[in-house]
Amino acid sequence: MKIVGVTACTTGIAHTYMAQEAIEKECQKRGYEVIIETQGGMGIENELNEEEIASADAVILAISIGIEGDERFDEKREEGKVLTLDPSVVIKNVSNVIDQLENL
Amino acid sequence: MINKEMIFINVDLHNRLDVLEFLVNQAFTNHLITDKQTFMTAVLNREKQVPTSVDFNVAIPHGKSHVINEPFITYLSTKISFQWDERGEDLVKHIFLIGVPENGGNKIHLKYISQVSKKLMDEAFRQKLFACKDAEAAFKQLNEINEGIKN
Repeated sequence: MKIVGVTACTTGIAHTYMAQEAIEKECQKRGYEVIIETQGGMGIENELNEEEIASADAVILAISIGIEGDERFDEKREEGKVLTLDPSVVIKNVSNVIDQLENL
Repeated sequence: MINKEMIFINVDLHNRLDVLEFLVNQAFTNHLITDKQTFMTAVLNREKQVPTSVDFNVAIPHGKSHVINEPFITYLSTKISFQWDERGEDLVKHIFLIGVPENGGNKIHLKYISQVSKKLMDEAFRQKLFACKDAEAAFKQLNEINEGIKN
């Protein structure tokens, strides 16, 4: 399974990176491929390209604000493969969130 | 970023407002902010949106404001855990107050704070940090993250 996603929060300093870490850790534990882009205080890091998004089985948007390049996920959205949640929800229940991604 | 003077272990405080007032006062005394009330309001407004307690007895209250000179993070642990917000059940014992200038500020400092946030998701790191008996020991743990960035 391959999961890609974006994390972003209002201040862009703590939750953005905690959510990234939580998703990456849980995916690695399950042996999944994972790439998480962060849009925070240090700008955009780990930016996802079209190919990476197209080849993903599921997309997680752990965001509490609008993000740059949201339209990149339109196609996946039409396929019903995008899950959007608040970063704090992802940090607290990451195992449950990845379960949900598996079942999209 | 982080200094020994802004780490407080086993403090006898039992609610969010008292903890935040204590830390904001300390931030002012240590010249990290130029106005207490403005920063406090920014932090409380953020709490109003969504409480910043995350899990594992940790909360990360934070505020962005022009009264902050450079990005900083502080750490306070309380003697006993307490309910962070009346809307949730999260019990908190370890509080990391973060301040960021309106324009973001120094990128290396921001990087450090984001690295601390990431580290808090690591159980082994939490165990080591939360076992620290005094500010000196906690500072050592937290400062190790700093070394990793510089190199």
